[in-house]
Amino acid sequence: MLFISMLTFVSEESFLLRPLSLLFIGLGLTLTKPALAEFSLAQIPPLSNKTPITLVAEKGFWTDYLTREMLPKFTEKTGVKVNVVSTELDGMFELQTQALLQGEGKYDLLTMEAGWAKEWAANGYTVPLLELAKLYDPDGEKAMEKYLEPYYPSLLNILSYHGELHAIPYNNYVMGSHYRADLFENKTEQTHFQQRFGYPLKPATNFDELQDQAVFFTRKAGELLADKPLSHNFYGLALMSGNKPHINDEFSSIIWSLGGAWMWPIYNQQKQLTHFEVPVFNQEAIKAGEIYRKLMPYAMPADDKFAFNEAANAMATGQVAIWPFAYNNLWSASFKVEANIPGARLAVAQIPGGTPYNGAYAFAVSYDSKNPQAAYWLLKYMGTYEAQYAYALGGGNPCRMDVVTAPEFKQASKRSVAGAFEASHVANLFWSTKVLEVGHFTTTAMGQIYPELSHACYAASRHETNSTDIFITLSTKIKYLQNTFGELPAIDKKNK
Amino acid sequence: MNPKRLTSLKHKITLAFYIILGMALLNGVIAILLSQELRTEIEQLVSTEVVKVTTALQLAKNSERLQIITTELNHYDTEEQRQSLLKELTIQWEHLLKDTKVLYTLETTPNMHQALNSTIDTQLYFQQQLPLLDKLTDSALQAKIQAQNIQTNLTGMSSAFSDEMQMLLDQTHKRYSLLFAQKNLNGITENLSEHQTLSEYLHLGEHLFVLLDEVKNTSSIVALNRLQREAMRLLIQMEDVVPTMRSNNTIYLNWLSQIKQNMVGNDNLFELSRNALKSTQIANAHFSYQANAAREIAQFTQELVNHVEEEIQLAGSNLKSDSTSFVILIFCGGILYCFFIWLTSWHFIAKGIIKPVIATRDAMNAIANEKLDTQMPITDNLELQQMVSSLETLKTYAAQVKAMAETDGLTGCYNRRYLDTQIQKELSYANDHNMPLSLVMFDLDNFKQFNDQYGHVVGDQCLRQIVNAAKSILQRPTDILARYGGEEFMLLLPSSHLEDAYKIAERLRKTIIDLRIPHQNSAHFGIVTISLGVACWQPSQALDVNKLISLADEALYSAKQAGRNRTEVLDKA
Repeated sequence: MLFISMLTFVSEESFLLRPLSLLFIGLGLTLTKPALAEFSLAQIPPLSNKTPITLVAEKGFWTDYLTREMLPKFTEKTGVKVNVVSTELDGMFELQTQALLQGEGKYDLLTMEAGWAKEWAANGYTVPLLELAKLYDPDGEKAMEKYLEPYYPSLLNILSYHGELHAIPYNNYVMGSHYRADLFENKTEQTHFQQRFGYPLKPATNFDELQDQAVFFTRKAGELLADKPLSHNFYGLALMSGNKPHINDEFSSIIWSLGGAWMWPIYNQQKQLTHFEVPVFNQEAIKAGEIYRKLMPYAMPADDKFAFNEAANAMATGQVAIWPFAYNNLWSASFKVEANIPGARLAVAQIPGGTPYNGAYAFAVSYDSKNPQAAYWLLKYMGTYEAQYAYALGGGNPCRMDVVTAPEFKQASKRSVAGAFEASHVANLFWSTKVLEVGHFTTTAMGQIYPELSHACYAASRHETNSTDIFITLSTKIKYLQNTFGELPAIDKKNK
Repeated sequence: MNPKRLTSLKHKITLAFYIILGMALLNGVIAILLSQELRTEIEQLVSTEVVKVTTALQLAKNSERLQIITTELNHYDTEEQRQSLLKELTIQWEHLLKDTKVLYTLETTPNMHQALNSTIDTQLYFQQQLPLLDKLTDSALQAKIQAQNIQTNLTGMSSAFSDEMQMLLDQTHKRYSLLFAQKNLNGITENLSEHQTLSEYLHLGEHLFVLLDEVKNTSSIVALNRLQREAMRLLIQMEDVVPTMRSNNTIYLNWLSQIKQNMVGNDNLFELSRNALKSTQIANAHFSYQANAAREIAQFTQELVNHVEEEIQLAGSNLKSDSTSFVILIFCGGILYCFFIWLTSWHFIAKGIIKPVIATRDAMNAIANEKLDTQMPITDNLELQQMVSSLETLKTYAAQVKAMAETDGLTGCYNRRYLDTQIQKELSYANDHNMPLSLVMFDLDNFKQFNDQYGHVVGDQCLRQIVNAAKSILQRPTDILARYGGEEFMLLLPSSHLEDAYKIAERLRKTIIDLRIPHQNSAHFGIVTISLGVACWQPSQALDVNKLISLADEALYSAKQAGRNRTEVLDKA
């Protein structure tokens, strides 16, 4: 019940943080096995509506698993057939948005990225979970509240709109710093690093240390690395510096870590969000650009298409020492380095600066669903402990604390899939209500703003023009987009 | 030392006049300048502070008007109203900015300057927001109008839908009579089912129209979205009902299609209403910021007015102080002016004219009284100096006349006339002061023979030598040597006793001997000698001048009788 209270508290857009209590909850979950969510397939009541439903899902192991293992069970239990539209992430937004706009009831269960969640909810495209529970669940809203207890408040807050949760997360892409522990723990490397920089070689906690480590580990073929000659060039870092959205996630992490933000939500005394303030001269963004450009020479050479897959591959193939802004849901991909490189050992730490990008892919019921009842129950089923556990075993990064902190995932044998769970857990607890303090997770116009952030970050990383001008222009665009497409106004934040 | 340059008195008086005139003018100019400065201060006070207050009040008035406009912009119904209000808003900001800039130019206090600068920045910022507000209000109005059109359309559609469905229900109802007459139980059952389905369809449809009608009264996006979901659920339920219709369901599908057109797709009722709400909310929020900014400007204006009032008070106080200073300065200037007039008068008239004239008069009196040693006055006046020069000449002439009257022309010593006067004076003085007075009368021995032998020219020369020798032994300025007549001379020795006079006489005699002027007929070494007779008047003696001279003469006679070249004393006492 404590957790329910906390979620309610968050849902009311109270942004006053209780990081300590959240941390205690998190630590408690790490120390004691949490009570498993009680919901299971067996609890689904007989459904009156047998209309087949359609699920849009991201291509990959998880959809395969759903299709193979879970959906047949659901159909068997409910008598409702589930069609799966398996699609690449790139086209998923447009595909679903167009269908929702036409209201044809084409897709009953939607897959969304956290950035789209508020926009779709604001457009009325998704149905609040409590409303669904009230309509279709015999136990009503309480059942849903109990069901949501194990989920990270950070993710639920991100996926909420006006205090109403619209989607259930399943794939958490909170960032961590993936690094080669074997190199960090090598005596020779430690000695050389200590001699050169004057402090011990440990995972970087700030950007200066990251810079030192990037410089330190960047070596040419033939040079020694961990006492062995390199057969190829080796780089300190992997950065997702291509002309893709992910460079923005790296920039956002740096900016937040520097104490800045793209835009700040402003609350009134009743804790209601009233407007956004956008820095005219975003000093932290300019500083982030400088940090990023300084790191780039020591990063794996990247073209415009270099993003998360390429970065994960760089780590997996033993070409880099650190992937500092890695999505933890790609841990399994990074982990391949242990198989590919003899003696390699992967570890994860909090990102330098300590404020990682966060978000999740989630499922939601569409407003035009022909069978919202079945969609609701399938949604619940896909978010059960059983489903998230299976998702975790497949290499995904689950969104339920009880799964993340399950003892079996602490076993060495599960490192390939669960090696970053602990780091993700800490990061998610850190973000619990802090997500309400940045505009990134509170605006309904992020779907419009996000591409502009990406363009600006890419431009700043390439130093095409003066970074200050880039971010001043971006500030104007953010204000324009928020004022035009958002629900609340954006004004200048006065720089001190 | 350079001699003092002489200046004409007329020139000096002219110069003094000009100086006085110049000072008067200077005083006048200073007074005019000061009064001009005071006037400038007053004008500045009037032109700056009053303009400030006027502008500030105008600013406050415009700020209040701007607040009213922003409130009015929360409620407009037509494009004309919107554009008119926005135009007025734009003009109002321009007025505010203009007035604030005027205040900025008038204000000199750094703090107020900074505050005004900040206000100008704020106004510029809100001016920059105007295109956005134009866009937002335009979007809101367009969306609102379109939504209203859809609502109107739906209202008509709702009536038509109800009418048509009611008509169909009536038809099924009428069909019962025939079916009952035919005793067609299956038909009745089917008709009943048809009737129920149609009723449900009608009910759902009417409920849906009610929901759609509620959209126009919805003021929150969350509520609107809830309506949208409920409406969509009803529509789906109606869609689910249609396949169960036994009759031709084209009519029902057409109705669904018509209704759905307004609920989904681009520019549907919900989207338009949402856009209208969003744009209105954001625009209103910005209008409220503008109103707040205008309110702050009005508050700031009040502070400014207070500040100006303080400035006016301060300026008034300064003005008063300046006026007092002005009066004091003019008063001091007047005193200074009088002082300078006095100084000029004193310098030029008293010192330059009267004093030299008096000095000249005194000098003239002195000369008239034969005081020829009187110092001549010194002046730098040309005319007076000319008078002094003439006086100098007169003095010289007087001296010459006096010298001629008192001096023996041959020997240069005093003559008998002078001697007589002086003896009388000295005897009177001796008598008054109880002092002795001695006379030494002497003459050259056998001087007639000397003249006969050596001629009168040498005789005259001899006399001059004797006189010079006698002058050389007289040490006191009061001692007088005078030619008594012929070769007789007399020494008048004031305050000298007989012994002293004798000593002087003997010294003279010896001095003459020492001259060794040859004299063949002299019985004394062949040189010129003198015989001397000494007489002395002692205090309380009843002797007059003639008696005293007679005594000296008798003594001289005795010396002659006794053989010459000697000194004899005839002490009557």
